Amino acid sequence: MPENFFILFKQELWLVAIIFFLLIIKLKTKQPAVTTLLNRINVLLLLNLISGFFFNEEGRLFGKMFVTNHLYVFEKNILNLAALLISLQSTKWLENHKHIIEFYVLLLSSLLGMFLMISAANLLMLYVGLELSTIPLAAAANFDLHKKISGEGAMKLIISSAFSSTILLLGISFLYGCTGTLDFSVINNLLQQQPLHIAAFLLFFVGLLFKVSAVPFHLWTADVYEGSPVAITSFLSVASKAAAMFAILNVLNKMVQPLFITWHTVLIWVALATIIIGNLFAIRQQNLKRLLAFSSVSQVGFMLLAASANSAVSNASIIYFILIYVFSNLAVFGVISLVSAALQKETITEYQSFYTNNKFLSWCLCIGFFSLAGVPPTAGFFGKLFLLMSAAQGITFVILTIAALNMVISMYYYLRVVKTVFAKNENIGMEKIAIPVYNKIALLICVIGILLTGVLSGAYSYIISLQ
Amino acid sequence: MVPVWLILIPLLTGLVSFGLQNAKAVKAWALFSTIISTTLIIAGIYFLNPSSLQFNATWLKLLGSNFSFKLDGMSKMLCLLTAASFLIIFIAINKNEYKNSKSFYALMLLMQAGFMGVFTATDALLFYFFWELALIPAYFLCSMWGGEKRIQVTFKFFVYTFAGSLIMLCGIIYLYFQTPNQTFSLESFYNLHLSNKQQYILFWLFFIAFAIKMPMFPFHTWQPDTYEQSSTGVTMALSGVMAKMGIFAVIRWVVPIFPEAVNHFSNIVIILSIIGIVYASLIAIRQDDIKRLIAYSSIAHISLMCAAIFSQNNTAMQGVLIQMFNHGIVVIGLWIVADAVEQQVGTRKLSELGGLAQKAPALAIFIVVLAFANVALPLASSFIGEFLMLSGLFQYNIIMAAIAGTTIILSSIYTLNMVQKIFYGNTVTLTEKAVDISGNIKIALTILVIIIIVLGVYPQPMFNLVK
Repeated sequence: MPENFFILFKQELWLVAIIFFLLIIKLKTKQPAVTTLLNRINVLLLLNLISGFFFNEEGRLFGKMFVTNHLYVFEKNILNLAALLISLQSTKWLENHKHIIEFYVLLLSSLLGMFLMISAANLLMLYVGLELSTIPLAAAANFDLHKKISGEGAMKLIISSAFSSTILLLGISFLYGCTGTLDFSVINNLLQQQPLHIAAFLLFFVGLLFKVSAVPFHLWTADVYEGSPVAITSFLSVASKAAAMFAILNVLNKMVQPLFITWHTVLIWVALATIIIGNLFAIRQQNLKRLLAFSSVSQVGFMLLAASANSAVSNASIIYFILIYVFSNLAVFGVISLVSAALQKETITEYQSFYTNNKFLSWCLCIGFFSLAGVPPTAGFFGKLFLLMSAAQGITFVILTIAALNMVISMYYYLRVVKTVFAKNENIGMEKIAIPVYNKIALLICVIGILLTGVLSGAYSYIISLQ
Repeated sequence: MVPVWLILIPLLTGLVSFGLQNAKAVKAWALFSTIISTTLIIAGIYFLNPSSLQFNATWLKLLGSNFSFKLDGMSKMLCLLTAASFLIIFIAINKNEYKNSKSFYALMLLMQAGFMGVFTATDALLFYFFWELALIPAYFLCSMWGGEKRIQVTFKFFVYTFAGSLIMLCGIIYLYFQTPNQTFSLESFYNLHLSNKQQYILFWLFFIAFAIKMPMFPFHTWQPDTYEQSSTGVTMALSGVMAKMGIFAVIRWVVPIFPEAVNHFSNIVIILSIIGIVYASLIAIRQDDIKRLIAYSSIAHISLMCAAIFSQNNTAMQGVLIQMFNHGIVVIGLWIVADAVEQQVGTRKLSELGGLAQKAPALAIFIVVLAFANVALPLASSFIGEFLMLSGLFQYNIIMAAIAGTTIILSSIYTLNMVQKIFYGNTVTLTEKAVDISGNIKIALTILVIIIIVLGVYPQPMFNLVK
């Protein structure tokens, strides 16, 4: 064990410590009150987030299977932030739930898996991380045991991820067969532009595309999102996607550079299809969670488009976009989870005249949607701008224009919700929803993040400097 | 620093007004803010050191985008128009009651900040940023205050203009990659040597965005509905200032960057503009609603400006420059009258009105002056502008100038018809109880009428300003 083991592995160790702490509480006969428990967990998650910013070092562990550097630490910080925000937002839902501890154990186990996935420098570690990040989520998706639709969603998630894992494993074994190793950098040296290697890579890559729900592997997304509790939906759409995206970047940059010509083309077409189909499906959705599912599909398309450029700038802009995506998506989900917990309302039409009684929530929702749509001065605009600018170096102008025009389509369905929220109708209208302190803090963090990360583009320069 | 302050003053005062509680305080605050802006721009034009009219700072350094502003002749005039318009608008709507007035005034001020940014930015990305920044408050202003159908109408307006803007963004990104040292600065765009083919495509990417904003035939369909449904205070800002953004942007961004394309497509654009002039004027004649009538009249006048730009000679360009200011002043006056009539009588239908001059003699005097200015009679300021534009068009093509010249005849038909139907003849039941306009509207209209007559008799200050 190297002497700086505790520093290199600290983020994962923190999570393990929190998980064990929770399990110990669960084993004790006398359970603390719900609010105390939630307070403690949130403080721990906050400490977890803060600790990520200090004493960071670069290094390798476990026989070079696990690599960490400043960029990876930053990526993990983004995920930690997302987990903290989701935890704050779901307090209201959890207060009435019997299984708080199980919820956090599942969530944090999944987060641990994501961390391992990000830091993986070996296909085995990547696979272990991927599985660890998915399986607990399938259990958590079915957390509202009495809801049939949740069961359906969880079933779909577990089956589709098992299926994609199979393909991924097939790809891994092919890669192993081709090169005789599982280490990223060695594979990178041995791969050549020949059919077997390309086939191996494609099988492997399909597995990863499943995780980010890129078209044509997106069909599970909407049902799972709709069935799961909002907390899990937001975790799936923010953290899970972000982690898989980080892993994809890692693999593309570190493992398959010799096949650049192949995956460049594949990514462009997959990205275009993802953007367009995600958007077209989103137009017709009535359930907000389904709408966000398809919108997140199209957002992933934009990231994949930038990933095709394969440069330091494009990587930085994707990470920057993910940071902004965390803020924007969680601003929207924060409102939805409150409404869902208080009134069980999730369809767009039920949000009619939402503004009348819920001014603050309406503005949050609205700012979140504008940021997702990429309208200045919100951060979403800068995120999309940097993505498109870095993508522009590798693709033709026509593709760029098609991608940009898709932002109009997305504007259309986001604005449809905003329109409904502000529509005036005296007869229907949601009653006032009380906003607990935690939710308010989480929403404010998101809104401030949306308004500031873009205009003060320091975050982007920071990410560039990390590489 | 002057341009920065011109943006910051409305921006900051706007943000502050979100926090004010008392409706009266908000009104005074907004008025105070615009008085300062107006004083500042007048000082900037006549008294301050020219070096203070520029500002440069790094913004998104990695992209080569700077925070750079400059007040040249055209910018000075349009900033003056913006500041003065908002001052007059705030005076005129001082007595109107808006529910949630702090948000109304705050959004108006934010919109003003966006306008100022558009008119002074000399960096393409910054220009785009403010272009959209002006749109967001406009969206909320139109969708939260106004007529019955405002939500649907605003939706169309927003999606329409957003689509145009994104096409422009693609064009900006393309030009960015053409510049030798990858920057967004206006100067480097001016120095580009683009092939004819590039110009032909890029021209449309930019021009469609601006044509939608003006709006020009066939992109005008959002305009009459939006102007009709919005609350009149907002409509004043939209047609008085926002419509000029399109004209301004064509002069600033399209004509110098794509000279070949302007030459090549001038026939098409002028023909479209002339169709717009005749078509909008004919529709205006048939309108029964005062606001729709003014909206269509505005399309006709803006189209004439657009045609004049593309006739590519100095006379026409001089005309366009001063007509931008004059049209803004006149159209705001017409909206104030429309608003006053609606406030007094409760209807905007010409067929239900009559004989208002007997009850409101002061209003009748003002409307007659404004009507003459709208028709472009000599001694009213618009005469000079329209005369120059038409004579410039005449140098380009006699037949086109002749058809465009019908605008004066047609506009006299609908304008005078409107005046006659509202103000002359016998009073009807609705106008029986009307009283004359209140003091604040008198002040606003007096300022406008003085500007119209002074600039009509002695337009030299305007020519000096835009030289």
